[in-house]
Amino acid sequence: MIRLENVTKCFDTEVALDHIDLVIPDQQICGLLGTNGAGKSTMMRLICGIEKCDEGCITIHDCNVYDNPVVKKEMFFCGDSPFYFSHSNGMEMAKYLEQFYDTFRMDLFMKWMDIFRLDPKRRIGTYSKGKKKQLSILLGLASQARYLFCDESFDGLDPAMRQAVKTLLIGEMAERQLTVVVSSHNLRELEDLCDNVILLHEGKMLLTKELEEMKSRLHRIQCVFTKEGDFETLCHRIPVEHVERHDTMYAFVAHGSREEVGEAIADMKMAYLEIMPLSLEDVFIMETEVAGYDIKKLLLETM
Amino acid sequence: MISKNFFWKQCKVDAKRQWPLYFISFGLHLVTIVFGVSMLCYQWKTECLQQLVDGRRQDYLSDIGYMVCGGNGVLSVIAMVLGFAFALQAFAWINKSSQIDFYNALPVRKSHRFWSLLFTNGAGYLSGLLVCQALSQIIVGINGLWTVSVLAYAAFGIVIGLLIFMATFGLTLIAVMLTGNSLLAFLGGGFFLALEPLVQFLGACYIEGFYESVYETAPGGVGPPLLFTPFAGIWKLYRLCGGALSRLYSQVALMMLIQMVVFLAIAYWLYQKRPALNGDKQMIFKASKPIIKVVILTVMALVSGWLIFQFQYETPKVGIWGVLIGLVVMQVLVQSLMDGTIRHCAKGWKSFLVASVLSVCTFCFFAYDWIGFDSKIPEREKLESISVSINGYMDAGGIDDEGAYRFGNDCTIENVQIKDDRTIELIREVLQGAKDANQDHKISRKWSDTGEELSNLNIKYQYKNGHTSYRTYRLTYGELYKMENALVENPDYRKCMMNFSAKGIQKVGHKLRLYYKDSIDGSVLLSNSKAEVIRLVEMAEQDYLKRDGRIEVSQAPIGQLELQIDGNAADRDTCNIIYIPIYARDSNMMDYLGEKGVVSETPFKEESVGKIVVERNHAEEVLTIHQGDEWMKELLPQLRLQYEGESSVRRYGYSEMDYRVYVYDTNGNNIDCYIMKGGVPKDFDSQFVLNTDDVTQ
Repeated sequence: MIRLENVTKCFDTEVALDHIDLVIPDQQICGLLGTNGAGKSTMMRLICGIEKCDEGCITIHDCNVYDNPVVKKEMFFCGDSPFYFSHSNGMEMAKYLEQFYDTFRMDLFMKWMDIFRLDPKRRIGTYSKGKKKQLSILLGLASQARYLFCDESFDGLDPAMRQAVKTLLIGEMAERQLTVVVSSHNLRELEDLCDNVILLHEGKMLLTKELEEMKSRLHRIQCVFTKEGDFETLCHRIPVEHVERHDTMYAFVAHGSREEVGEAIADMKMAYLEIMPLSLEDVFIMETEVAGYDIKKLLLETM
Repeated sequence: MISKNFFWKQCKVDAKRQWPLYFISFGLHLVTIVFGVSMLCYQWKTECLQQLVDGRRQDYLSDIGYMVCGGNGVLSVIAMVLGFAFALQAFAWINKSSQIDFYNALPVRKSHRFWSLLFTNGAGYLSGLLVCQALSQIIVGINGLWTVSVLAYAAFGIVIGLLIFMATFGLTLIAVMLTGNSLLAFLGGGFFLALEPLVQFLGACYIEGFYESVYETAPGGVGPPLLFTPFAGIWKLYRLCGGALSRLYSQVALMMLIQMVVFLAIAYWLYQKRPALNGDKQMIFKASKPIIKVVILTVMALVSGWLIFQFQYETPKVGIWGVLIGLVVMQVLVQSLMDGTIRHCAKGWKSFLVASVLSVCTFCFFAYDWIGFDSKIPEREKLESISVSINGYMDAGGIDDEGAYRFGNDCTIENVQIKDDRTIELIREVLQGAKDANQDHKISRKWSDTGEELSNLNIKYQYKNGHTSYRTYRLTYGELYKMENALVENPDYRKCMMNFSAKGIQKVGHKLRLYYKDSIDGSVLLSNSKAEVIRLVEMAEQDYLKRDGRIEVSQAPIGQLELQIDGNAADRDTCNIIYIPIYARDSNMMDYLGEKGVVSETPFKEESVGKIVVERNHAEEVLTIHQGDEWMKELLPQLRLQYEGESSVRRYGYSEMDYRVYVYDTNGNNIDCYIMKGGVPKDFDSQFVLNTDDVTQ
């Protein structure tokens, strides 16, 4: 279990992470979402011990991560632009990492390289951007580290490879209790992959929830009430937000399970009713709007 | 245990990645050491074949020792260049975000990464050096020249090379840690390395250039000493090369060791403090930016001020403009580099202001002599003693701290110690008089300040609190005369003037030759036997101690001994020459020279000289001496050394006027002409002329 307590990181006057408290449970795929500059990469680097936090502490199983090789042996970081030695090939990189990770499985690495059709003796410099990211993930998995951090590693992979990587990750999770933390701007992709999500905005954590729970307890409702005052009644029964009204048509987000929402509107007569589950993208936009990241408004203002 | 294993693993993988640099290190050492030793061995073999090796073996051993040890300047420079290059290359990753992510994410302690890189780079440098030293030992052994001393010199070369390498490595690392990209790291490292020699050079320029009374040969030299960069070690090695191994080891090795430890400690501290995510910053630490900028701006503005001051006829006001121009140019350059854009060239006005105040004040401090350096006369009660050396009056020789034999004013001033109140007061009075006479209240004037001819007076003040200070004043002859009589009568002064003692020579000379030189007979070898030369020098010493001080200022020497000393403790190839003036009243020496038939009575046989005409100031005829006149016998010996080009016979005791002496034969033909620089002895002027009623005038 990764625990962040009151973690703050500043770069000169800019606060990259602002007093973050967070727990990432084991054996899950955790999605790290956020606006540009929200602090996703900073958080990953702090967790991996690349950087030291200014305040607070980060622990894995109650051990500090920073400058602790024993803990760091259980982690592998796949950066958004992975580094490889110049003129080196996949095999050489694997041998290099084998020096540091006692658990490194060369046999698995070779097997996966074969499956992903990557030539281990070909110079990495000649690889495409996607292949370099694949190699980085394969090296991370072959290290047998318990925690794998993928900073936008899935961006740039073609759909087939993305699926293959996902399958591989899920297999490893099942086999050796792997925990994956992945950041991406492709919310659709994370929606399929993640067990829970962390949403960051301007260095602050907006929410952290299990994805299924979050999705099951948020509903977008569009309806036309036939009786005046029903909407106000509904607002008293269940939490409602993001209300938009066009004449008699109401559009809003209601909190609660499908059953709770059904009960709340059961005695109300409506000319039109539509209840839809919220996508991750909807949640992202909704939450960041609340935090002042209203892109639509920004666009309208500039126009 | 895990950490230890990780450390060695890290070393192993780093070593694998950096083999090209190791190869370069090996190549450079191969060219300098192995090639150099091979050439020496080849020469040795050639001379063996030609049977020319008698007594040469020791020379070859010395040369080989010099080649393989740190005394070889090329090896030291290679160590420094490699230290600089290795540091930049080894820690280049620290400025590349993808590499920082990669390396910092590895399960290795941050400190281990630092020390492993240090270790692998040191080992990489050392491996090339060791292999080449081993090869050179084998080559020397094959050629039959190997001795334990060759091995010892090689060992010393390895130690000193490694220390210079590591000190440079550490200093460059400080620049790497402070800066955010390779270009700035390179420039910063270069600046750090060059800063101390630059400040030293600048200090010497300002002190020598602005302070007229600075004594340029004071111990330690003028300007701050070289201590804080690897150049200090190289400079020391250069000066001490060929000297005793223990001296080299104790001085240079200790200095480089301290530097290495200090630089690496600072670099390590910065490494630990340095944030991993630098966000394309040019300068990593906000606090260091203005400090570094102020240092660069101040130093470069002073350089600019000095150059413009020099080019514009040494006008201080123009020099200040030079400082300001330098400030503006460096502000634009440094600020643009530090911020990575020329648009920020006007930023950082506070640091600019600080640098401006510092540099302008420093310039004015020297240019306008704010501390009154040039006019300072210490108070009597603070003085323990005064050492005086009048330029050209009488030089002395001695062995300096580094074992080198030196001869000149600087040796005189180190040996004279005048303690009696009367003489010290007299000297102070003369200096005060000179100060009062000068409009700028300086004792040391420029040559153009006065219409009179000036001469240097070197003084070493020894204070009661144990401190010493040195000054060179330029006084007129009139001012000098006031103190010279008191000086020549002072026993402390006289005793120390003759310190080219036979004992000193015995210590340093490998080979000695003694010549007698005068204007008539030229140069005659008296002896090249060490024992005989020392005996003769002792004889000259005895004569000197018997002299009346006044004789020296009122009478010209008839000739001089030229003592040639081959080699000294510091440099066996050097040849030191000491001139010892001989006066007609030096009975021991005159007897010896007479027995040898070296000194004739007169430059010309008296019977062949018809008359001598003395003119003053190129026109006025002072006197004419005819053959048979009693004064002919007196004058002719005194003329012997008054020929042009022999500076050693010029004395302050002479009157200021120039005399020309024309010598005619019995047929009235002019056979020689003497230009008596500075005039004839003053006794000659006052007594000789006044009492020559029988001489036709």
